[in-house]
Amino acid sequence: MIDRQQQGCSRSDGSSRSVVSEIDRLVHEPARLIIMAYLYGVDGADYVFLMKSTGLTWGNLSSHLNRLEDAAYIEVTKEFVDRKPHTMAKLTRKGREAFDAYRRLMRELFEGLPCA
Amino acid sequence: MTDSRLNLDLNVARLERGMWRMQQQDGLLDLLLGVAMLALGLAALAEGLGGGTVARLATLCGIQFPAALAMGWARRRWTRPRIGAVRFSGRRRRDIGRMRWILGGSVVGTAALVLLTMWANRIRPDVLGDLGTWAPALTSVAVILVPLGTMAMILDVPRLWLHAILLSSAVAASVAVAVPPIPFFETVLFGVAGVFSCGVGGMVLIRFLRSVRQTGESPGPQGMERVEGGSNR
Repeated sequence: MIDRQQQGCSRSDGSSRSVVSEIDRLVHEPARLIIMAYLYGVDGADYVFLMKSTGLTWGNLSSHLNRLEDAAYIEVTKEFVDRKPHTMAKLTRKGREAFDAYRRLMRELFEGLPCA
Repeated sequence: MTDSRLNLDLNVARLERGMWRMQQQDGLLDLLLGVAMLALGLAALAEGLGGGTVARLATLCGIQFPAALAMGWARRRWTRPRIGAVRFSGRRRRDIGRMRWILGGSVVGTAALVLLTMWANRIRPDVLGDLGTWAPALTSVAVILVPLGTMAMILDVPRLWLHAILLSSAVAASVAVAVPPIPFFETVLFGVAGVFSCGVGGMVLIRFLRSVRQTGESPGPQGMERVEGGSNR
């Protein structure tokens, strides 16, 4: 008989379901997740950079950034540079905490999954 | 629905490093260093044609300052708009500050060496005496390798080591090697090194311009589109 404790398989399915239910779906969406990952390591990036880095189309990027801004996870500043619109996005403290919480939850989820 | 073109690397440190490295992938710094080497060669030619030290310095400054300004302009107007703007964190800003101090110290050290060399009797012979004719070469290598190596490490552009080695080799060879019967040997040395560096810079710039297309922000009533509904979950 396999000793699940010895194999490090300690959590039951019920606890994993509880962790899954806590996942922030705003962060969990792949496009928004990668946007937040890019913004996490810097103090801000403009829309052109985010578009080039993530591979998203302009409309898609705008839409996701609007969702994040509505949730106060990012703050957006708009200005004109050389008569061209220039928009910078920056993770707020709430956004950083949400991203950290998401990472912790995902780590907990995968570590706690029962072994095959 | 997930966009299949999404870059799904989620290692935050690796992403940040990639963003940092992208700032120097336009090849302009390589071109500037190549032009600097060509300028050194032309300056030696100007001196060799009878213009003296004044002609050498005038040629050097006359090429280098406009080249540096041109690089700044090209980066601001031409290449940076293609990749977008990033505001880096305190750690990177501190690294840049440290690099400026090292480069500034190197410029001051080089100027001090030049002045001391001109005031030759004040140099303690026992410091450099044992090195003989290699002393100027080794000193030159140090004042080139140290700043360029620092830039290579802090800007995270290993390519700069290539230019540093090329330039310091040309300087060391021009000072330490007995002049062979080649007219304007120093000009040829720096010319070859400069052409090679400019070639590297040119290739990097062409690859950059081909792979990173110009896209501005999409104009809309508020400077960006708002997509209602759509595929976002």
